[in-house]
Amino acid sequence: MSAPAERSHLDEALLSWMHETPWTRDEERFRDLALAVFEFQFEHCPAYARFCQARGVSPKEIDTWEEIPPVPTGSFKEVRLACFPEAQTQKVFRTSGTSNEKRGELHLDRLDLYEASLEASLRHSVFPDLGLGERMTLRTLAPDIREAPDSSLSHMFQRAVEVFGDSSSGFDVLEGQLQANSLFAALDEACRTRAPVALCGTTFAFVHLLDALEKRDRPRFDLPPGSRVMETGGYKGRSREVPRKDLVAQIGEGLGIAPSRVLNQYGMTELGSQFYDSRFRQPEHPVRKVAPPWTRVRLVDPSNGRDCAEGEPGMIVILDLANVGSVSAIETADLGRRVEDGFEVLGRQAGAEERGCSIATDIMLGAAEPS
Amino acid sequence: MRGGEAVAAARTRLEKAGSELRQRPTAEILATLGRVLDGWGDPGSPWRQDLAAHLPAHTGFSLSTVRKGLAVGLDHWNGSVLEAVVKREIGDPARLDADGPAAITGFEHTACVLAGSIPMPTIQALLLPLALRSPVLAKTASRDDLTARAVAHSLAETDPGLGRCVEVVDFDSSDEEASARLLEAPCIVAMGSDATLSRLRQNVQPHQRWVGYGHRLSVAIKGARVPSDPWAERMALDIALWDQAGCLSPAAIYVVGNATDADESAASLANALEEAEKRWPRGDITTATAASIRIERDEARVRQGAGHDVRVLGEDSSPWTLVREDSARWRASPLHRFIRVHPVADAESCAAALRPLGPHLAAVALDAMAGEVPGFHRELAELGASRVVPAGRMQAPPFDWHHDGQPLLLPIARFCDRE
Repeated sequence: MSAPAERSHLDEALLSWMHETPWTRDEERFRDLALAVFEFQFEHCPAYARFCQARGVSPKEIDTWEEIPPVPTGSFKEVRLACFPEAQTQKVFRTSGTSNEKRGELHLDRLDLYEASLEASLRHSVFPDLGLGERMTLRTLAPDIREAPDSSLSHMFQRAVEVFGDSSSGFDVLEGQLQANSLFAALDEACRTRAPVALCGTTFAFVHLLDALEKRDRPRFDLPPGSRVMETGGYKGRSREVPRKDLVAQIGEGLGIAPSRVLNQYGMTELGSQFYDSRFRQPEHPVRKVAPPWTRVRLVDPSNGRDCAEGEPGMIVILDLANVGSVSAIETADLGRRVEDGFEVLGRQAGAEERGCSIATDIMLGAAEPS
Repeated sequence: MRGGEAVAAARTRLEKAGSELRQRPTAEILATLGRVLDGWGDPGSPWRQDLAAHLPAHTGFSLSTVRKGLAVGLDHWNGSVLEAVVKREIGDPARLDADGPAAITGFEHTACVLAGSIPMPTIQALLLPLALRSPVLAKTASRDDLTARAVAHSLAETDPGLGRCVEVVDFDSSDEEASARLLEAPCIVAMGSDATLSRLRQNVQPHQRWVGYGHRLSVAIKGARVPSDPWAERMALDIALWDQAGCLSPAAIYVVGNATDADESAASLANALEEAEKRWPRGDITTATAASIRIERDEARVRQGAGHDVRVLGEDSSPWTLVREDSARWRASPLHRFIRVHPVADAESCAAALRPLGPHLAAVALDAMAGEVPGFHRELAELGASRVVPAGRMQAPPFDWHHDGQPLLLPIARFCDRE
């Protein structure tokens, strides 16, 4: 099979899976597709192929998806991990960072797969109550794609507004500043019409929102039932840090949105898929991140590469078939633990255990890196 | 007792002990401190042996690493080194008693915020204020509540009056009340991360004396003509001790020469690290550290796969990792026996590579043949290094080392000039 035909075959199989509802977790289907995607990536991404060969792994030698060697997310800063010629690049998403820092890059030669994955997850986890074609007001606490053209998060929010948002939807961050007036006007309108609203944005933007609410000389919002919050991305030093429990409580106080309606997303620029809290779909179960059917998440003991027992902390390793044009097996810098059929993110905990006096040398030297 | 109450009670006890201390002649106190230092410098002393026996369980270091670390760090400490520091910074010790043209005194008490779990900085931090007759209120490091108590015990055993002049408190750093009471001290010596020091300093008033020891790192430089094997053995000791977690541990190595020189040095060092592991095994590491090490190894392998001239030495199961880099560009290290070897063409390139690290630089292990890096000592001093030593001596700072480039007693002393 030629490269384009081989790729097209994989894309169609994935698109078809992403469009299916309800989600079905089919181990054999995943295994077959994962091994085919690995074979394609091994064939067309030379840097990845050499990495795998150095690990003693090639497509002919493995028969389970767990054996596919993962690359660290940091490698996307150093190497173009793509399975197509640079000239065919349609989009490059970049990790956040300053102009002095190297930024991770996800190169895409087509966006439909990326968008099908994110739409399926949004529909499944964030908007499970919206029927096909139904919309709601979606206010976004992040810059739009004109301001942040290489941000995968802005791209995702743009698609969310296009697919799920009504005419009152929009973006409420401009040039890095929360546009409290436009946002509060939209929230006032939602309170008046009793039409639920979805607030989606970065975690630090929600802290800015809470600060703006503090300064507002009016009663707190009491948003209508069905309203919800989706936050992601952590603080990244862009706001004061508020423990998540407090953040959720303060959102409840300020906006009238119950903690059970605040959803966290775990995602990263290097991945084509995202992972959402299970709380909207399975409120009676422990909250955990849910992996879409075309992904698998392993919690790995980093000292030997074996899967951790349920509840044990391990390194989060993801196989995301939506990354078909790049590398699908990703080793993250995050720790997590398995919870029922999903996982919980414990964070990076970098330096937490350092026992010498050069605590967090790695963090410090991000700043010392020559430009 | 809550943290805040414990700190307040300790301060009350120190007030009484401090007023008794200030009645005693300095010479007597220095002599007692000298005997305490003699004890810590003696490998056979029960204080040393007791600390060595218990530190591994508290810190995760292996017993043989702790023993070797204490031997390298303390064997050359003794009473006369304290005397030498007093002479260097104060002159005649009698100036601490006399009513001369410049009265030199310590503060009513000195608060020490300790960090990490390497004993030497703790021992020194607790003894120095006493030399100025300033009693000490020490907050233990979260990873080591042993050493400060061991020092207090050694003082009490040698001189009960002096023993009463050290109070050791434990509390969680989130205990704001305890922290606020501790930071009311007229003189504060704080160690820790830059973020910790910034947070603490926000609660310190301008009239209080503040001495902070924050983030530091050390590096090694090897000239191409320096024979690799003996150097590698000494370098491996510097890396192995305290599992590379100290500010005097090498975080990176720069080999002056070409890629072949770097390869040769890296190969020797890899062998030496393997040998060092047999004698001084790496201690426990957390899942987070193991994950960082795995990620950095794999990240280097991906770069290698992409055609970069990078090599990873050490098996996946090895407790040590060596990455021979393809350039002088600094890269973060997870430490815990993870070392990068960078090739640098010449001394000038090496200095350029180190320049961004300058504000954080502590020690540099410099091994070069005559003429290989002329004038480099001066250049390193200007960059910010406060120690230049040969490989193998990084973890053996003399008691009188200008810690982070500062005098030891002067920052915690008060001067009153009479005109």
